[in-house]
Amino acid sequence: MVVDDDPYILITLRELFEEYGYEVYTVPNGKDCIYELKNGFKGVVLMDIMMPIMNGWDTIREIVKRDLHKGIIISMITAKDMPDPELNELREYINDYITKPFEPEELISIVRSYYKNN
Amino acid sequence: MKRKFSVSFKLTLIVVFMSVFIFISMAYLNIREQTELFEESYSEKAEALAQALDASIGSHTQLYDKEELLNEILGFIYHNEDVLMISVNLPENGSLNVFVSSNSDLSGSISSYENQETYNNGKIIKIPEENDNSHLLTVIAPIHLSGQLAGTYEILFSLDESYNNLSARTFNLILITIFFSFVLIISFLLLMRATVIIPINTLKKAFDKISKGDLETRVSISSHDEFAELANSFNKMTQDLESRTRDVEKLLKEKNMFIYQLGHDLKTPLTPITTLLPLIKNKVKDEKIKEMVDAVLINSNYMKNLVTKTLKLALLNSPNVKFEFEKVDLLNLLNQTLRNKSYELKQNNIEVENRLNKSFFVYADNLRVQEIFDNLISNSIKYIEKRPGKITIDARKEKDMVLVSIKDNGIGIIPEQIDHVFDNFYKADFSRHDHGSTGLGLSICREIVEKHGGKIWIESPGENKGTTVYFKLKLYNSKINENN
Repeated sequence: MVVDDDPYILITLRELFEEYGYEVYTVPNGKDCIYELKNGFKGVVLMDIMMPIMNGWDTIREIVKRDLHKGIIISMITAKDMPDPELNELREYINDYITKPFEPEELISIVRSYYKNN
Repeated sequence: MKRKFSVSFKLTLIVVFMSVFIFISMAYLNIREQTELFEESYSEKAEALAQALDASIGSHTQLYDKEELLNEILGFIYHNEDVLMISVNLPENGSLNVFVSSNSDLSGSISSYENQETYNNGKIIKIPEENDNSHLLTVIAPIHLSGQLAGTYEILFSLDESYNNLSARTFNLILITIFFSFVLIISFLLLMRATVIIPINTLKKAFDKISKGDLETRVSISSHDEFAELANSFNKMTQDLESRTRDVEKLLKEKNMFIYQLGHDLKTPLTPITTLLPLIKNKVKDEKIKEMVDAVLINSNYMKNLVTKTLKLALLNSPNVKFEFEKVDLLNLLNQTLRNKSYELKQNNIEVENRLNKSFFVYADNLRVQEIFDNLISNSIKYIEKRPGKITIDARKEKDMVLVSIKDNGIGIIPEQIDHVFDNFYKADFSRHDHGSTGLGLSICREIVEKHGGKIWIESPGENKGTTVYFKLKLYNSKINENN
């Protein structure tokens, strides 16, 4: 599942992962992400940080609060170079911190290794 | 600069010299004046004595008894302790003879010539005499009897006792002068300290603070003189300096923020371009379109590279950047980099000779040192044209640093360009449309090395003769680095 407020990033990541044979959910904000998790989504969540309404960190806090973090792998995917202090606070729930613009092959190999290990 | 003599020391010296000079000349003048005055007054006294004596004798008209005459004289001056000898000379057979002397030992000193002269013209003669340890004064005066010149008498005064009194007085005078000179020196120095030394020191301290970068330093001197004016000018200067430095710092910060913001805002739109273009390229069957997509893809990748490197440099230059210093093994790091690059190296037929035969531990930021290796090896790969290419990497200890060298047999650098290779966006050949180079790799390396307190430089014997990049990093020292 890709969570990002930028529709073009959603299209890009959907196309990239579908090319490699993955089933992709794209949601434009944290609220929809939580909705999908409640509906039973299991897998990798690629989360943007800077989003309106509910930013990436708030979304993760909410996920943890509602105990929805079991069975999912969360990776941040952001344009920020300097990590926020929240990264340390929520470190145990986050697997990777990927900065844009990422190398497509690199992102694919990271996601592939998640599924391989779980 | 080391200070050899302080201003206060010099001033003290000047004041002491001046005071001593003034004191000595004053004392000298004073003593001379005193002596002269003393001699004059003594001589007057002696003359007055002689005149009074003459008058006293002269009033006794019938005194021709010599004994009586002597008694008269002695009676007149018996109270004067300074008198050593009195002689009375009366004419006998036409010349003056010693008639009577109070001290036979000294009768030889009687000067007959002067007595004769006094006897001839009736004038009083005074002869001061000075030898090693005594001061004498001889007074020769006429004797008048019944108004007529009858003879002379001679009185020998010893001035020693009076001189002793005088020198005791002079000694006191010297003590007083020394005391006042001392008071003068002290008060002058205190005055100097308050008016000159303290303001100078205050200003000096302020200058030191400024040179250490504390631009908020201000001086307050309230003496309403040149120093206060100087302090005023100083404060104005620092204020100007402070506001200008603030302006420049603000501008630099804004410039950095601008570059950072620009780079940052370019990153998100670049993501779909560089991610989707390869997918499109794979789907395209038409060779012509494929070629066009390829051109767009290569250029957008170049742009991505440029944006990420510019951002990296802007971040390295920003004051917020933090380095994670730790004990880093250079050999380990180099092997890791070479592993990452192995595909690229093989593809370009470049052999790497790693001469590091042991671990070198440096105190550094792991990821950033890896970036140095990455950039330098990428550069070598980029600029090797010969096949097979060769890169030689070596390291050795130099005092508390480790010197790493990365040598290649590439195209080399001409001497005119060697000074510019670390400039931002500098490329060896501007006319070449080189999509692999951003001109930022070495700038980033230099920033990283300098932030580590190290040094980086480049050497090349000339075109087509290869290039060697050297960099120095601080060795890990458990004593120093673990306490920080």
